[in-house]
Amino acid sequence: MTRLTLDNLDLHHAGAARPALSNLSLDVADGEMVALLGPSGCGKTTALRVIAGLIAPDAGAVRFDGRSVLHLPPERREAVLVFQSGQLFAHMDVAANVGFGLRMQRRPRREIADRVAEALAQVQLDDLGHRKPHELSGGQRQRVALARALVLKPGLLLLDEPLSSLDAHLRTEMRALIRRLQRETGITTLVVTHDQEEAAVLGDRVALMLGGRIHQIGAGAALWNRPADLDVARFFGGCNFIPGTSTGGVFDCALGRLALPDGAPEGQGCLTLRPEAIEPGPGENAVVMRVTETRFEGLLTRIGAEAGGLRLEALMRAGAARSARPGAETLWRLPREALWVLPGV
Amino acid sequence: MNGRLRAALGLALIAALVAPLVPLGLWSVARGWFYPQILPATWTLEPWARAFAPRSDIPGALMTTTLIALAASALALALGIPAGRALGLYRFRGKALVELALLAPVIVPGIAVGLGIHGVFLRLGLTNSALGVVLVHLVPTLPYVIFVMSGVFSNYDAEAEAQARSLGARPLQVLWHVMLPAIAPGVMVAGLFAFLVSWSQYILTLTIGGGRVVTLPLLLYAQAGAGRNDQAGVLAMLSLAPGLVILALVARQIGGRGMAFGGTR
Repeated sequence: MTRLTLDNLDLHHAGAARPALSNLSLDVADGEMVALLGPSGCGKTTALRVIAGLIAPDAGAVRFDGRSVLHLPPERREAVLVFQSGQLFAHMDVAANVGFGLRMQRRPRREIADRVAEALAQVQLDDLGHRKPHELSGGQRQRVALARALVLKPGLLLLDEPLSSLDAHLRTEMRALIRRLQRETGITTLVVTHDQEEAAVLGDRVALMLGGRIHQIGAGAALWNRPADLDVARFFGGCNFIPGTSTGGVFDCALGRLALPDGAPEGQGCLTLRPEAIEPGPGENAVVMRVTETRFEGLLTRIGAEAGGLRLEALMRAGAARSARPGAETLWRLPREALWVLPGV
Repeated sequence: MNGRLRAALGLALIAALVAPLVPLGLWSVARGWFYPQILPATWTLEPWARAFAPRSDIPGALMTTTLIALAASALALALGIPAGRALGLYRFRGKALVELALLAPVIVPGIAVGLGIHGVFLRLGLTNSALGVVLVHLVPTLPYVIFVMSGVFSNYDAEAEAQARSLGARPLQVLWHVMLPAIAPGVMVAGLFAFLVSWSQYILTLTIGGGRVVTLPLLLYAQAGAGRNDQAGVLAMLSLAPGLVILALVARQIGGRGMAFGGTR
């Protein structure tokens, strides 16, 4: 399989206000699945197209196993890109679609038939080889598109939002299928998505891309709880930012002195914690807050509160949230292990 | 509109279109047909026999017309498909102007175009030759092809080509296995229209061919002008043939549900 390296990729579309890719670097290990996560327009699809060879970058390098592939046209790269829409060829039946790449390589008929059957079995569509794309459901189409790429046994699989066109229940199913196939085949995979949950479930690692470059890469939970910067924190729904100074495991700020977890960076910075980490009641790092508003958000209720001119938001279960009425004072505990200091902000 | 009214209107339309052709057909199989007879007194196939007799120039003209129409439509497709792709897929500066310029040959009378081109072709030595006639037939055929193809391409997803490339297809393979099958119905319609437009061209063939390149419309005008109704009838029927065949072939494509034959149902 293939190790993918992106080295300081730059790309500026003619006439665009901001660059699509700016100093983008990324390493995907052999056999690894990395989820490239980002809001729409952050350049993640552009990155996939550059890797596939459909667009040339202005500067930087794309390396497969350490060798630059920028001089190779898309058909000669070991990467196969599966488009968001599936892009099945409407005039071919399912088997012909899946066999397309092998036919382009002029493989023997017998071999094509065998490998197509095998690939269709992999995606559990054994009996649908003779169907035309318009006779398939959205989920089936996406699976055919996946089989059409897998049948080529590519060194690198690039998936562009493979689940975005599917219903919620199909997504879960398809997510599991992609995960399983990737484990079984060991194909190095880069999957692009705008959905945090999808990225966390699919990726061995998650790379968060904002404004054309990777802001943070790591396990999903790390990005969630230990953001590298304010933008990352905001992307994951972070809304609590407390300026202050960190000295010897204590954070001095408008809320008073808060105990920090071990190894927190020293000096001036911004303290952040996820809204769902805040707990009601007394204990370590408890602060008196004045509730300003509550908003029902389904499973959880969002509560806004103020203290010392600072505004915090918490997400709590209905039971814990019931006592919070606008104007009332309440005691919030900011658990030490949930605190995270962004230095120098 | 209810079904019965629609059917009646459809039949009336067809009658209005077909009725003028009936006398032409009758003339080609009539011997002595004079006012006030409603139908010819005697029937004969003699005009047809004469049209295809060894000394007749009709078989030759039939061949010339067919070859010129085939060449002109093939050339129009070769030029019109890329042009239609550019107009249908891409946005570029001056696109509206290009589209307007493409309409020009349809707006400007053929005789004016023909005389203008005649001067140029004269210098290039293209007058009085079949090649010159083929080239001048591009004037009326190319706009049709470009308009049909730009419509086809505006509904075409070029991403399919990128997908094919990523799956390992070389550019020519993409053209053959992905683009052509996707636009084939449009190419067929455009090609058949171009064929018909070239097939029935009179003024341009006459000005550039100078009477040396003899096609069916030229013979038809000559025979009709000379009052030889039986031969004119035969020629009219021959001229009509490809149109009817093509209409039958493309009716489904144009109407979406078999307009020509299904319209009265």
